[in-house]
Amino acid sequence: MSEKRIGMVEKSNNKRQRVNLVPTFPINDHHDVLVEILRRLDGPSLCSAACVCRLWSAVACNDSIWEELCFRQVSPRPSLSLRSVVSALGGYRCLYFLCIRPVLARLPKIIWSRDQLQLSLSLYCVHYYERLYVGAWLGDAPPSSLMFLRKPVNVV
Amino acid sequence: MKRSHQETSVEEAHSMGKKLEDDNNMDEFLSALGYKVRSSDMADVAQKLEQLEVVLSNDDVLGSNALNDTVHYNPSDLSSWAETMLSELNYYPPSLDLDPTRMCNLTPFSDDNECSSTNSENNSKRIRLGPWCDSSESTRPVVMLGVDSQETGVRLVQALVACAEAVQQENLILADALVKRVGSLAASQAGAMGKVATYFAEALARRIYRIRPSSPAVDPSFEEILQMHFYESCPYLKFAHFTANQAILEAVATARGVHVIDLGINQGMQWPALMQAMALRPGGSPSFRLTGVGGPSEGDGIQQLGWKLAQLAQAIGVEFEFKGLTVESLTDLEPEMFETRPESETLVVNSVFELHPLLARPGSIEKLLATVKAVKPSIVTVVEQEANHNGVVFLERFNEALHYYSSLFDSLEDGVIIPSQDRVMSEVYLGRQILNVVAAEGTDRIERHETLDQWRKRLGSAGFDPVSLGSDAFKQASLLLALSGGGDGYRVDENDGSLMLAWQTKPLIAASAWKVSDVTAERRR
Repeated sequence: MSEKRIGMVEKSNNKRQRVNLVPTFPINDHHDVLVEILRRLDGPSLCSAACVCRLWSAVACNDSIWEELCFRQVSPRPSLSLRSVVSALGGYRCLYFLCIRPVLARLPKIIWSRDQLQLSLSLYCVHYYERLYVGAWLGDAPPSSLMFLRKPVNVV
Repeated sequence: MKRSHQETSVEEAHSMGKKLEDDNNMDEFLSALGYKVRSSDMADVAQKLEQLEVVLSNDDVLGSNALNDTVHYNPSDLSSWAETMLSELNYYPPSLDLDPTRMCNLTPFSDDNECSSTNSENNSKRIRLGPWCDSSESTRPVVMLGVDSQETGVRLVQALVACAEAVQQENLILADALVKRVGSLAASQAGAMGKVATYFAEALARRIYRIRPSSPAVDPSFEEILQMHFYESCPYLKFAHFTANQAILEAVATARGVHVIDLGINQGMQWPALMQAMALRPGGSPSFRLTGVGGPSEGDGIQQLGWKLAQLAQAIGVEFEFKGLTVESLTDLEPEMFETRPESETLVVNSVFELHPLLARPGSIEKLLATVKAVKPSIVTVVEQEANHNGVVFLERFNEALHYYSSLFDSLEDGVIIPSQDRVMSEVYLGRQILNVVAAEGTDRIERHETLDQWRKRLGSAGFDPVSLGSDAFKQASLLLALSGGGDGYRVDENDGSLMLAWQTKPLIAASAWKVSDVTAERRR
C-alpha cells in the first residue's frame, strides 16, 4: 500500500502542521503508466526491467511494449494489419526474441529498416508453419529454420 | 551404403600397416598395372628409375646399345629390372643424388609409404610430370607429418580424377585399384574435402561394380527429413524460396486473386513467407490459391500440408484455397488439370529444382514447357543449380561435379556452427545427388543440372522471355546471406537480371523469372 510521507512544519504562529513532504506516486498501482514507461526502453533495459519483480515481469508481457521496441526505428509506421498478423503468429515478444534480437546481434551495423523487418517477419512465419506442420519428425526437437539465427557464427 | 567401401579401406589400412613388416606384400597399384614391386622396395625402385631416366636422357647412343645387349627376365619385377639396367649402363649415381633432403621443402619425418608409392606409380606411368610431382619426387620416403592437408587434398583430387579417367577409358581394373586408394586417402583427410571425396569414391565404386540402383532406396519420408535439414542448415533453399517469392510479389502487385502452381510442393516451405507478405500488402491481401504438384510417393502428405497451410492462412487472414495434384512425372500434367480462372486470378508457375530431372527423357522438358505456356502464366519463377552436370562425356561431368560439390560441402563446413545432425543430414542429402550424377545413367540419372545460360536457351526457344529480378530481391538475398554466417563466403551476384548465389566466387544456385513471350496474346489480370 502506498505510504504517505508526512512531515511537520513549523508555522509562523508556532503551530505545527502536517503536510505532505514529497508527492508520492506508487507506480505499482498504475500499470498503464508503467507500460508507458517501459515502452520507451531499449531491449536490454526492458529485459532488466522484466526481471525486477513478478509484477513487472507480468506487465512486461504486454505485447504493445514489444511492438514499440520492434518498430521504433522503422518509418513509416507499419499498418495496423500487421498487428493482427504478428499476434496470430505468436506476438511481438516472441518475434523480438526469436528474430529481431538475433538479427540485430548478428548485424549490429545495419540500420533497422523495412527490409530487415520484412525478412524477420517472413522467417517468423516460416517458424510458425514449421511448428504446425512438423508433427513428429525425428522425435526430439522439431526443426526450426530459425536455428541458424541462434547459434554463434563466424561473421566477419 | 558404405560397406563395400569400408571393407576396402580397412583392407588397405591393414596392408598399409603391414607393409612395413611384410616384405612379400606387393603394392596394389602397380600390381594392377602388371608390375610387381615389393612395398618395402618402393623408394629404392623410385630412385633407380629416376637415375635411369637421367642416364637414358643424357646418353642416348650408349644407352640404346646397352639396352639391346642385355637380356631382361621378368620385366614385371621392376626392382631387379631397374637394377640390371643401371648396372649395364655402368651408372654410378653422384653422391649428390643420395642427399635425402634434396627437396628442401619436405621435412624428413614419418614413415609412410603413401608418398613413395605415389612416386613410383607416377614414375611408372609418366616420366615427366609437372611441378607437382617434382616437389614430391624424393629419394626417401618423406611426407609431411602433421597437417599438410592441402597437399593431401591435392593428392586426393588427383587420385579421384585419375580414377574417373580410368572409368572413362573403361579400364576397370585400374579404376578399382584407384578407388580403393581414394577411399583410404579420403579417410585420412579431415574436413569437407574428405567427406566429398568419400561420396565421390562411393559413387565411382558403384559405377565400376555396376551396382544398381545408383543410390540405395530410401523411404520418401526420409527424403523429406533430409530436405528439411538441408533447408535449415544452409541458405540455399531459403535463397531460392525468398527470391522466387519476391519475383512473384512484384508480378502480382495489383492482383485481386493469385493462383500459384508449384511444380514441386515438397513440404510447402516456400508459401508461408509469401502468404505473410501478401497479408501485409497495403490495400489488403489478395486471395491465394495454391496448386501443389507432387509425386506418387507423397500421397496423403500433400493433403496434410494443404491443411496446415490453410491453418496458417486463417491465422494471418489470407483467403486460401489448396489443391494437390499427384502425378508420376511432370510430363503428365495437362493444362486442364489446373482449372485456371483467368478472369479473376493472376497465374504464377513456380519451379524450384524441378526442371532438371526432366532432361533424363528426351522430349519431356519440351512437353512441360508447352503445358506451362498453355496455361498463360503472368510469371514463371525458375531456380536451378548453376552447374553443367549433364555433359555427354563422363569425365567432364565428373570434374564439374567434383568442383561443385566441393564448394557446397565447404560452405556447410565454414558457415554457422550448425548442429551436427543438421549438417550430417545435409551431407547425406547432397551425397545422394553426387551418387546420382556419377553412378547413374540413362533415365536413372535425374540430377541433370544445367547452367543458367543453358536454361536461358531452352526457355527462350520454348517461347519465354526473361524478366529481371528487381533490386528488392537482391537486397533481401544479401540480407539473408549476411544472416547466415559463413563470414564473407556467401555472395549474391546479379547476372543479366537473374540472381546467383555463390560460395567463394563459385556460383551454385541461379534464380530467374520468365514470362510468356507471345506479345499478341492478351494478358488478363
